[in-house]
Amino acid sequence: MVNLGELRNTAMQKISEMRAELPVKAAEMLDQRIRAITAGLSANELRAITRGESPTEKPNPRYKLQTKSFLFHLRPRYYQRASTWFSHTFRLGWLSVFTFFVETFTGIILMVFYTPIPTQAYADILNIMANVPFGRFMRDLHRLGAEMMVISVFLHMVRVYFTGSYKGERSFTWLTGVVLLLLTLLLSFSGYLLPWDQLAYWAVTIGTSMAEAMPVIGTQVNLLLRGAPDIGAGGLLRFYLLHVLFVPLIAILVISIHYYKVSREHSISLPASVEEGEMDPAEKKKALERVDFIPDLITHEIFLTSLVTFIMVLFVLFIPIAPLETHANYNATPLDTEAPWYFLWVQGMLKLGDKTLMGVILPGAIFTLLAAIPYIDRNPSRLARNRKLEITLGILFIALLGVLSYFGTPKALIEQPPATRIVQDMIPQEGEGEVRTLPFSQLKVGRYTTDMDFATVNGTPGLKQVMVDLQQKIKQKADKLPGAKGTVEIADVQVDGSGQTELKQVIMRIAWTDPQRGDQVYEKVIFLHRDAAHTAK
Amino acid sequence: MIRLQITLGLVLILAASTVVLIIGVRDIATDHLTRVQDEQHARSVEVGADLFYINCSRCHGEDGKGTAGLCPPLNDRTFFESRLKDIGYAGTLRAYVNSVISSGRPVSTRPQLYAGQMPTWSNVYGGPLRPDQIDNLTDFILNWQATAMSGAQPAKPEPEKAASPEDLGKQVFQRAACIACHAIGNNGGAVGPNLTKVADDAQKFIADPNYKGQAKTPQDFIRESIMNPNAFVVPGFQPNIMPQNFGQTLKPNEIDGLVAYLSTLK
Ligand code: HEC
Ligand code: HEC
Ligand code: HEM
Repeated sequence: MVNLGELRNTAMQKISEMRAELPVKAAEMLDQRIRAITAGLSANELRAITRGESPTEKPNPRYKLQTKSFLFHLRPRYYQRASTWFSHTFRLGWLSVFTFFVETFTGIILMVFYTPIPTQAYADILNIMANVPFGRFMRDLHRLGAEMMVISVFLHMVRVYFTGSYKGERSFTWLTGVVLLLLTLLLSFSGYLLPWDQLAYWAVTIGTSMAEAMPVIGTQVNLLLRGAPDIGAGGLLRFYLLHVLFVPLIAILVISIHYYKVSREHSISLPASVEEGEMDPAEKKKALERVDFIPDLITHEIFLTSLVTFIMVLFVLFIPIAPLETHANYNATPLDTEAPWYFLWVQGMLKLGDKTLMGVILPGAIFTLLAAIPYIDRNPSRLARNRKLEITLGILFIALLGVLSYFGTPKALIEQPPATRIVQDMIPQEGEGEVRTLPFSQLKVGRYTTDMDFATVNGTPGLKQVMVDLQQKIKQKADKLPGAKGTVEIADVQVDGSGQTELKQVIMRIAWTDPQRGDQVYEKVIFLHRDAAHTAK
Repeated sequence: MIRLQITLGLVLILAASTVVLIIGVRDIATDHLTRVQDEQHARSVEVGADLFYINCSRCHGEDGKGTAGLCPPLNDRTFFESRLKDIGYAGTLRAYVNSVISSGRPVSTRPQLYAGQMPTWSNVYGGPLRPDQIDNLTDFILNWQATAMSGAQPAKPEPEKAASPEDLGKQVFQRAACIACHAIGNNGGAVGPNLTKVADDAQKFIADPNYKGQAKTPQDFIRESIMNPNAFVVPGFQPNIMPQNFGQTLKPNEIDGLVAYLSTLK
């Protein structure tokens, strides 16, 4: 006979036992799941990490990650404290990686709205800016990231050079670094063409024409890059594929190699003062103590990520930096062609000599020299006071780059016909200039000359300023423009539905008498629309 | 240090998200993007105006009023309102304008009104302009819609300053599209005689035994050639090509201006 009452009692007892166990069991299961995902960290351990507490188990489960988890095994287990001093690395290697990620993310979003076809590309960029929510934002971020990446990679190299961290076993790391510098420049430059505006088209035309100056294979390389004698549909597609596929893939590979060398093999160098200098033993001990990846370094990286993200996002909110000039025009070489700033030094060299020497051989020699630095520099010491020559040379080299870049700016070392220069300064082909940025209401219909009484335009101070400036500029070049007279003519062209003018024609004209060629005139006609929002930049 | 960085990091992430949110609200909930579109349109009109001035004004007139007998006005109410119907075009006006400019008009659709031809413009069909430039031109032409006048040749507002007759004549020469047929220097068409030295030529034609007109001076000859082009047909050219109705379509002071201006060309 079964005692029903007893059975019930046992059942109740079991149930309440199970109830009591349930949270424990659940917690255990949860813990297992968490350990499975984190390659061995318990929930408690995670909590300890975020609070900066010491490990909850022994052996330190945090180290296990570096052998078991794919992503973490790429990372170091620890660095010595002095290696992580901000003043030693300035986090520039990190910043290079970070900006590379920013570029990948924003770039993929931009790809969604972009077609690499000459008849479509420019319109797509306009569309990104005027129709795609966050479109302009993504474009600006992508641009900002690209500029930052070039800067940080360059500065990273500079810091490695000045801290002497390329020596000895790290010489291969330096070599991969030089490859990365080239890849970074190539990434940035290949992206330059994609908006298919005048800026892009002519910068890349000049860039690839340097390839043409290579001895023997030049023509072939140029053809390979451009896809035809001139950049067209083929060239655009090639640069697009270089930019979104080929170079990034190679860059990911080389960054991985570079970084693996640092994180798993040689670690970040110690500051020379710690490694070689005399230091108080207690201080030295502290400088050499371990800083674990988890939690210290990883927290720091996440912090840096949020900091730089915030700065970048804020920056583009206020300063939209991605430029867009007018549509690429194969027939109109711009008066002022400008290489991207990081190639101005090459453009500067090109102005000083012949294309093969200055555009190919010397830059090639410079990069070869860079790559060879660890093998040329046999000085074993990394202390600044033992490296006076290296440091002086480094500073001189950077100064030289600066000077060459200045030569590379459009106006340096190039003399344009004076009248053309004046009009180009006041009404540049690209960008705004002081006539376009006049408030529309200042464009009073009429004909104004530099020899008239400016009091008649007192009512329109902006226009008066234009006339004063024009007069001034002509006066400055009086020796080259004898008897010159400047004229500005403004006329109505179209009116809107309510009868207000919305489009005006502006003509700027300089007439002078050349001693040899007689009467000369240079004039430029533009049209200005009320809603075009030309604003000074 | 760790907790500080985590806290600060969280604050920064929140701040960054706020900025993103601001941009999102601006792009989606305000008229920000509409304004950007207006700006882009305005700039397109600017470029279109420039292209029109360079390529089209010699036939269609700087202000789009056309050339009598040769090229249709584009700044005209009937063009915007009934042209598609008249011609039986199924698409939009934008598509029509774009496609006409692109392919040109090898044959006039209205030979009795506008006898000229229009070259092909788009480089897709062998012309000189890129498709994006055709878009700019289309934007510029459609921008006349709001104020297009009905009927031919509405008076152009007088220039603000009283110009000299020569200056006025010079303007009218451009505006009335004389330049589409006549060159002065290297500038202009070759349908009619080159007028670089028209005053000297006039002197010669008056002395020509074939001359049956009334004029005694070059000024009178030029005036006659404008009012009644067939009074004397310049050797090597055909009668009835130069429009016969400038006497009606131009104002007296404009004709005076033309005469004054052309008489200076010796
Ligand atoms: C050589 C003179 C000439 C030039 C230059 C010229 N056109 Fe035309 N255009 C014509 C003629 C003639 C027609 C056809 C009239 C017809 O078919 O009835 C025409 C027709 C048009 C039409 C269609 C008008 C209608 O009512 O159907 C448009 C639009 C047009 N042109 C735009 C342009 C633009 C834009 C340019 C400059 C890129 C230009 N044209 C340059 C002569 C010219
Ligand atoms: C459709 C083309 C056409 C247009 C437009 C045109 N002309 Fe003519 N013009 C001619 C032709 C053809 C002749 C020569 C035949 C003749 O004399 O009638 C001519 C002749 C002349 C002559 C005489 C030439 C000489 O060498 O003495 C003058 C003057 C003249 N045109 C002025 C003008 C003026 C001013 C305008 C603008 C208001 C104008 N034309 C518009 C075609 C044109
Ligand atoms: C895409 C470009 C690059 C990336 C992403 C990158 C990344 C990194 C990172 C993350 C480090 C760790 C130390 C630090 O942050 O400073 C590092 C170290 C190093 N990098 Fe780079 N780097 C790049 C380009 C270069 C270049 C152009 C050079 C030099 C030509 C270079 C040479 C080195 C060397 C020698 C080290 C070891 C430094 C040390 O141990 O102190 N790197 N790099």
